[in-house]
Amino acid sequence: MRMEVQDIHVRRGSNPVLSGVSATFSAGEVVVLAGPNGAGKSTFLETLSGELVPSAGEIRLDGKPLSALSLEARALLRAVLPQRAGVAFDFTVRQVAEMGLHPHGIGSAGADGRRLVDEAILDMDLLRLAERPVTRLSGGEQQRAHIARTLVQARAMAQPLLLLDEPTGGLDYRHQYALADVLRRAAGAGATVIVSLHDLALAARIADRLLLLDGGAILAEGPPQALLTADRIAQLYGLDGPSAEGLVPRAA
Amino acid sequence: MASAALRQPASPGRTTVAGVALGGLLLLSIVLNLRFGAVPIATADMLAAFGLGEGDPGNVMVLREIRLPRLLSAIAVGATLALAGSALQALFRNPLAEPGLLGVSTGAAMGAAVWFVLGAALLAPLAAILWLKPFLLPGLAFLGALISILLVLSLGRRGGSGATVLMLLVGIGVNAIGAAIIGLATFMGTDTEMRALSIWLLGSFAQVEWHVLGPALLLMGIAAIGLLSTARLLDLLALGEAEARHLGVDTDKLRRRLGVLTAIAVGASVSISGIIGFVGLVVPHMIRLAVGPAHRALMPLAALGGALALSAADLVGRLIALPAELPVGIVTALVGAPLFIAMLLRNVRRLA
Repeated sequence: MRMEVQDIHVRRGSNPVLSGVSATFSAGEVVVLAGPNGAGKSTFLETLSGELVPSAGEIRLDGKPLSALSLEARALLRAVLPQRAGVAFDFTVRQVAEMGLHPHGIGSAGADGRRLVDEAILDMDLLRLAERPVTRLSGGEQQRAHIARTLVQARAMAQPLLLLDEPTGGLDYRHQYALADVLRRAAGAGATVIVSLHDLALAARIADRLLLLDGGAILAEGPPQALLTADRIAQLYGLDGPSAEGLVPRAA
Repeated sequence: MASAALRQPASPGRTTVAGVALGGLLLLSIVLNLRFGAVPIATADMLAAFGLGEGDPGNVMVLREIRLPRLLSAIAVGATLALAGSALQALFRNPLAEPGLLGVSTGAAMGAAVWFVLGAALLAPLAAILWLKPFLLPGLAFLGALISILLVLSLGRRGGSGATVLMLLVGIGVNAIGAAIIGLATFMGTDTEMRALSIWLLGSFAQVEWHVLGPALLLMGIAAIGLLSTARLLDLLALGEAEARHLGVDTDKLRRRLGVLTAIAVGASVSISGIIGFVGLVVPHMIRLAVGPAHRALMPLAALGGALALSAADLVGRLIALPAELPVGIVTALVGAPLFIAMLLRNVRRLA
């Protein structure tokens, strides 16, 4: 799945949140969005998902305008993990993961459905919690359940596009690395992964390409090792030199 | 090996057990309802009413013309209100949503009150069309319910921490508007109309006859099938509207569909029985505790549970104060309101 973003502008109320963002995302790459709070990362992901409509500019999926695709068609091409995923009522982890099957019309009782759900549950280390209601779990565990649902939806696609907004929120290191591994493997199998992260070390670990956003525009983009210099980190986050120095990811 | 450990445990089994148990209890309630009342009726007469053998003609008449339509309406209204409650709870992502509390039932009653007081005069040209006439009362009740639902949906569906409080407050407001208009209609009516209206507002199956039941049953059937067919989508709504859209659900369309179907369900129910509260709240809540929140199991079981609850409540209402009878709405409120308060208290931390 190739996604082209041409000069999009997005407003929330009368405030411009994204102004003139252009980017291209290709199959097989993991692109990390980073930047300070309010830089427009979530807005950018919401716009890519189709949830927000840009006031100007265009988004194309494999050449087709996103706006021309129905909700059903979009759900067959891309999976989305919003920043604060929740669930009303006591659905179990397994039931939440099974919701990812819905757009594909795959039943949870069939072999395909069960395989997809079982794999996502194992990948997110949820086997022990699978029959527990999501609402009774910790924040990180809930997040893993929603990641599992997103993975189920994506893995039933031929060349999925994955949009993940701060998926590591609440995850401990083991599960952050497990997620990083899952996303790398997905890209290796041909997925396009766009993910926003605050942790620059984790970003450097999984990103083929980093997109630094600031004030609703792309400040810089490129391979993480080249992009994340102490000067740029200091400038982007408003940090002093030594603090920024400490955040420069070490070469792998 | 892993997949064996991952196998779903008891859930489908639990659904079956709950279905069999509710079905059995409903059958028992049906038999008791037919048998007991102001006049106890022998088994032979019960069989005779269904064309099996000979029985006392008076008792057969009581069964066919009074108890059977009354029982059928209790079953249908109970099932329909429980389904409407489940749907509203899914739509608001809130276990406290219910046709009564949200003012939908009062809205339907408002439409019906307008019919009782003004209908005959204003709608005479429409009532002259023979096939249309039986649908006018449920039709007006539907319109009243629809107006209430639109109000509650547009005002009370915000997210955030105060969502429950906002929803319940909007429900109070809508209830107040409906009650004011019903009061106005009562005020304008004659004494006879006033008495009929006030008994009916308490919620009662005492006035049900076949010719009004037929059209209402048809409408309730349509609404029930429509609501049941949304079960899978209602699960996805639990994730939130944006997330449901990401999974391909057209939430605007779904919300409109649920609004209209719920209005038909509540309108038709209220048109034959008045306002019966708490069934749509308590029954889905109990079923959810028993089999979990997945709507494909929850909704059919809630329908069974609602049918059981109202037929049993009406039996109690008919027998408890012989030779008089207690309106069924009072029985359900006496049981349901304390349970509602218990649910509120359990949710109190979320209400801040």
